[in-house]
Amino acid sequence: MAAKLTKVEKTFFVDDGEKRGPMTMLRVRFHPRESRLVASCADRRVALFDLAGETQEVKGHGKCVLGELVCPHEIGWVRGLDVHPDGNWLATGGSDRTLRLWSWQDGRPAEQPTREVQAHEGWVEAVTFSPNGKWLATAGFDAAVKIWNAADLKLVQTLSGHERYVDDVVFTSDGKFLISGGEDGRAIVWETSSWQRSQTIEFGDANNQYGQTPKHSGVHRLAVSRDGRWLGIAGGRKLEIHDLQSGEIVSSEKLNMQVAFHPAADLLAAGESEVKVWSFDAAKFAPPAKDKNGKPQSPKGIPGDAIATIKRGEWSLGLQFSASGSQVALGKANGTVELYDVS
Amino acid sequence: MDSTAAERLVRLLSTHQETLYRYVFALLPNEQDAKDVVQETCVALYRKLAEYDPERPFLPWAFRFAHLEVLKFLQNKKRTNIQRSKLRKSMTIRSKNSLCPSHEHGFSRRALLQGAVAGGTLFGGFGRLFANDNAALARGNDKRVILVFMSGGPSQFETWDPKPGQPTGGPHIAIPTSLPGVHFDEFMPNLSRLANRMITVRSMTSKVGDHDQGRYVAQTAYNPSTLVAPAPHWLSVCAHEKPAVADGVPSYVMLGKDNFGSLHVPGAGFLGARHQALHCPGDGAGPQDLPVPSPVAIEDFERREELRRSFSDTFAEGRPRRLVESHDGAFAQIGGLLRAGDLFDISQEPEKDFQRYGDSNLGRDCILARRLVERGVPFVRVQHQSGLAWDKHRRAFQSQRWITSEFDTAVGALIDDLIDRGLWSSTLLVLMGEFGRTPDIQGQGQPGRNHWTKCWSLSFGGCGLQEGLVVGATNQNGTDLQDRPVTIHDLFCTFYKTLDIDPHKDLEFENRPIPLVENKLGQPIEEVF
Repeated sequence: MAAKLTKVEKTFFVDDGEKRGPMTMLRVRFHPRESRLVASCADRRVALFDLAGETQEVKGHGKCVLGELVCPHEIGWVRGLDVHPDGNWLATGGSDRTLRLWSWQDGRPAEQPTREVQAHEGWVEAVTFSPNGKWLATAGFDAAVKIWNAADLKLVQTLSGHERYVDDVVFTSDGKFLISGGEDGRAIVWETSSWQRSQTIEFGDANNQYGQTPKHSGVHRLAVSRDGRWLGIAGGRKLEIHDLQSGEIVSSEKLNMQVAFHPAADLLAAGESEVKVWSFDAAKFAPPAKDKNGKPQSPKGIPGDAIATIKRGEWSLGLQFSASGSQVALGKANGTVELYDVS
Repeated sequence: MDSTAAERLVRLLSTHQETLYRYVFALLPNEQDAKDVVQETCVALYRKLAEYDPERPFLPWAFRFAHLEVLKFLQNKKRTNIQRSKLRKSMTIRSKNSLCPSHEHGFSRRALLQGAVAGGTLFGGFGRLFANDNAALARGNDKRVILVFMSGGPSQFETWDPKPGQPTGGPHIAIPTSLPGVHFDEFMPNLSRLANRMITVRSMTSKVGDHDQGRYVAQTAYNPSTLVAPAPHWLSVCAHEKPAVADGVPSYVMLGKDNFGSLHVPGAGFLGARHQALHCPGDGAGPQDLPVPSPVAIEDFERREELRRSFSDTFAEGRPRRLVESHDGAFAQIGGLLRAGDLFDISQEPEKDFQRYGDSNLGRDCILARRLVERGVPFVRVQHQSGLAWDKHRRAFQSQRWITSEFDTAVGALIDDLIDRGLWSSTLLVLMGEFGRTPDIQGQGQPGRNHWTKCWSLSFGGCGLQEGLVVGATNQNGTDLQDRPVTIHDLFCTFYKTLDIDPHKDLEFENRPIPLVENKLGQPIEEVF
């Protein structure tokens, strides 16, 4: 039976009443144990939503569950965040250069960080815990990827290989590999046993204007399939699926900015203003055929069934499946997050 | 020597410049050395011109001087570095005292020579500098302007007036500058370092929030509807008031494309094509479709120009001369460019400069701007990217990082070089767009900032103005002015006064007085002088 997405009636909205525009969402993360969702947005704080919260009428947005703003950095915006796999910690990285670790108690992060370090020479863009919760990987403006001991934020390793801003980092589910991607148009696969580079995937879509426009800014988001075999790379104007072991491209679609794999099924979601969800047929992922001159042809689209198309408006960022895979969260530019049940 | 003799020398050198240079270059196969020696030869010819018999061929006579100068050069080269250093110093002093009144021209003999080379028919410009009247003109026109226009409306929050920690502050943080207590955007490390050389205005206020009209006002001092004829760009006015001294050197050059709309690209307006900017396409390139300068190309051009002018004169008979002046002026400019040689050739600039200025169109245009002002072009407008690069309505802050960095790298290097090369005290550098951006991070596709005229920022400096000054202030979250409003008209009064141009002077168009600044509004920002 094909998978199906059903929109949850509640919308999740955050605003602090300041006259400065909506809290445009950037990244969303489900809490692994509790019915909570956190999001980095256009603010120095993190938006915290109670997914079981009561709704109230919000002008212009209908019935919404109002979020709170927590984990304050003093200046800049929180750019990256992640929740520890055991659910007891939340890590935030900001444009203020800091990485902060907040303990999670009673359904919310603490008011003060437990630990704080100056993590990068520039914005801390991406933050992710390893699946075993031992490490925390960060990346950002200084083109470095850094590995931290998640318990005390002691620096374990600095990985050099990118030439520009690093936008995203992701671990494989078995924790054996870390993948980083950035504005230089590269995705680099690192072995976590040695922290050595195992391969570099040239995604492209980067020019000398780099961050001027998203379409020329290389890799924006990364995601790895549940079995660690496929790597999804989202750029400013295309989505590519690569065989993580060989690095070869096996599929491509004209979708941009966002990508997420389901944690327990062969489901894939991708796209910014329009999100598409596929029930993909992994057996049919294959490198593009070559023509008579040996030149590779264009890769094929994602094999399988497209089960949903969701329009959510321009610059809608934040896309993640919950730990069980029963829900998917979509951030939006207007300061809201929408939830869909996956069945 | 009388002026007739000097003019005769200029004409002879104009005709034989290339041959003379090739003769010297054959003996000294180094471009700069050959140019130096040719220059020395010209000085010698000038001194001995009274001995020249016009009935005899010029070149054999000139070659004798050139040969002697080559020998002299080679002898000098054998001397110790110390001796050479002393010699160059004395030559520099000599050139300062006798050749060029502008103190910048005295600092670098090579720059002077290159300026002369660019000055039309190789030494036509040099010859003119000998003439007393032109020397006086040079003294009167020893100020330059480089305008780097930040098209689209740069955000004051992400440049000169950051508000970190405020809800309106955005993700960028601020860094300290060389001025105690003053912070700029984190992606402006060079301009932060150089804040003590610049004037930062944080209290600009204007009324026009539309790109087309805003850019028109911000570059002409006129609202579009207040004048029957198009107002000239303020650098066209400057070119009109203080044209380039050297022959063949354009008075006003624009680098880069400005391809959004039409109204906002002010040209020479009622001043006519003669005062229009010479347009270069950007990325450090010179004018397009210009033949490679050579004696043959010049001769070819002059032959055609003679014919064209005869038609033009015939057409003009019985008609207002103004009808053909612009047309003639455009052709005259082409002729001047043909004679300007390598004026626009930035490939002659050191490779390390390209690294310092950054691998960007703006970086290469700033190198060209530097080259132009060094060689006598008084007014240069640099367009930072075409279209509306600073117009960050949407997806603003990540892309803002890059445009601000690109701008800071190129402009920071330009300021460093203007200072190092002794040009800072006579060059007005203006860094501005048409307006600022909203405190609200509303955008038209969040996150971004919309147009905002209530309070915004810009920066300028050099040309003997006060240094390290911050004019005006906004309130805590940048939503309103707090102190010392400065209008567009105040700004233009300030710029014109800096250039020793009466800001409330009248020009004339169709027998009507047209003031430089609309309705004679505004007052100079006195604290900057």
